[in-house]
Amino acid sequence: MTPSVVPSSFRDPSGFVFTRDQELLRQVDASWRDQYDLLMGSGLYSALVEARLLVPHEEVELSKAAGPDAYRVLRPERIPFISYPYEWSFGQLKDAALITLRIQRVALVHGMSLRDASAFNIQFRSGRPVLIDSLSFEKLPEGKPWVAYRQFCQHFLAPLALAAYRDIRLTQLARVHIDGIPLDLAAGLLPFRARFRVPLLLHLFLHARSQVRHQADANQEGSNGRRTRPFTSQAFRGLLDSLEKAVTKLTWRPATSPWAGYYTEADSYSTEAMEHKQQLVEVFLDRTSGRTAWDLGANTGRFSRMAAARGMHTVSFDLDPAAVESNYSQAVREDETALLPLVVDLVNPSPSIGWENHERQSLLERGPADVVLALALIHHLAIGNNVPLERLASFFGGLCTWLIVEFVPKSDPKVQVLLASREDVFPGYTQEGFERAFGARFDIQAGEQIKDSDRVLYLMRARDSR
Amino acid sequence: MRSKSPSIGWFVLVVLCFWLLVVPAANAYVDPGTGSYIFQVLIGVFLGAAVAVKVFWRRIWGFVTRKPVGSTSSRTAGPDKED
Repeated sequence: MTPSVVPSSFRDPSGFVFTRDQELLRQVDASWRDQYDLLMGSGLYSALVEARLLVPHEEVELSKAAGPDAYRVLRPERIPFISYPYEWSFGQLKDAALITLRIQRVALVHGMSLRDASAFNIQFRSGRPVLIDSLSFEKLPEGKPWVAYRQFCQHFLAPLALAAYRDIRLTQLARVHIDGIPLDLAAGLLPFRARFRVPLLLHLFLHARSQVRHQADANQEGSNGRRTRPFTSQAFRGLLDSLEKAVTKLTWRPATSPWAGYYTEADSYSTEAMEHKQQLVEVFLDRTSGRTAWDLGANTGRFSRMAAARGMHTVSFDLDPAAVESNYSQAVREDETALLPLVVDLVNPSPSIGWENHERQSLLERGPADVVLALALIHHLAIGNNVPLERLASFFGGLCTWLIVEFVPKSDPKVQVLLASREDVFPGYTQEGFERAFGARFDIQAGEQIKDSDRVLYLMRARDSR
Repeated sequence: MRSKSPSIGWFVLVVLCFWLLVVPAANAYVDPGTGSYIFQVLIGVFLGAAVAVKVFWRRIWGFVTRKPVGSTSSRTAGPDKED
């Protein structure tokens, strides 16, 4: 079968990632031979893999190469779900930043250095961040500063500072600026008090000024050819210490969240209703089969954990950064390996972006999942966002094989709240209308009313599923 | 009688603050790498010196408390915990 190069893997002249016969492979080109051998021979690879900082790979036969000049072909361990920085919670981005600095420290000890510090090179594996690009290392250039410094500041420090000092929603700027948030933009958006943190003053404000001041110099003499005093190993260490301090001190604690207490509020579910709902979800999950689950509108991940407990790699989506932060904190605290919380607004999910609109995949391109949970969600989409039931059924039909979905009728207090501020232009939003719309795409295998509630929980199987 | 030096200090601080208040916009089409490179070399001198001072004091402190240098602290686990 012809190999297919992964669309995001075209910038690197030292190799590329491709798929062949369902296998994910990485070609190392002959031009990168010395650097790759140093990675493996210096003990850096083993040290990083042992510390769970780098995704492990195995070398496979050269005949699997996808292009000329192959030196090695690697089969990296596959990450179950590729996520992007603009989908991470504050804690996830912070952990990814810290692990990047930690990897750089280990690399320096082995005489190598990261040549890029892209947040896209970090992925979540078994619940923890890990570097996925084994070709990111080069021999430490003698006396030269860190080539990835600017990228680190743009990909990590700027969005973290903006979230901590201004607004968590500004992390979404990473969607627009695929190579990180420009430092002049970040400096302009940050409040004045951020300048009183010395590491931020240095790495964001003065760094941004320096970029502006020297932008004309780029035409005269390239940065690599510039004659400057050598960058000592102590300076390197000081730089990493300072960056680490900058990142560590940044915190974000949500003041209030409209969603984080959803499942603990008495007006959402009575104790009896919640217990029955949990039982039903467990029973329905046991009737499904598959290896992957997406919990849409997962809140803090209560039901996601039921899927994860059954061995399914579960991605737990919610639009509320506070709920996702809480979900991630719990996953880290309890060392949960099958759960990945992410911030995604289903009404405007992550698009495909970058070169030719293919560099980073849209959310839907990263599907389908075997099982989708859509609990306490439909009324927000149908009434809160005017999405017709037929379109919802079509959306879910293309997304999964199994669907566990909760219908929340108009009589429910939460729907009443939604209808209080808008005209009821949803005559078709009834249980019958819901079953008719979803029945066109799914076999409805079970439907049961949740005790002490008007809500109904369904188990459905997509008609055209495998 | 009031000394003049504090007011000069405040003046410098205020000027510095206003200078830092606004970062001019960069031309998006120009590679900002040159400025990052030069800036890194510049701050590297100070950050490197800070590390040297830290290591020096740690050695003094280790000598006084009879602790080996490497045992005082480490930032991260793994092979990078040297001082």
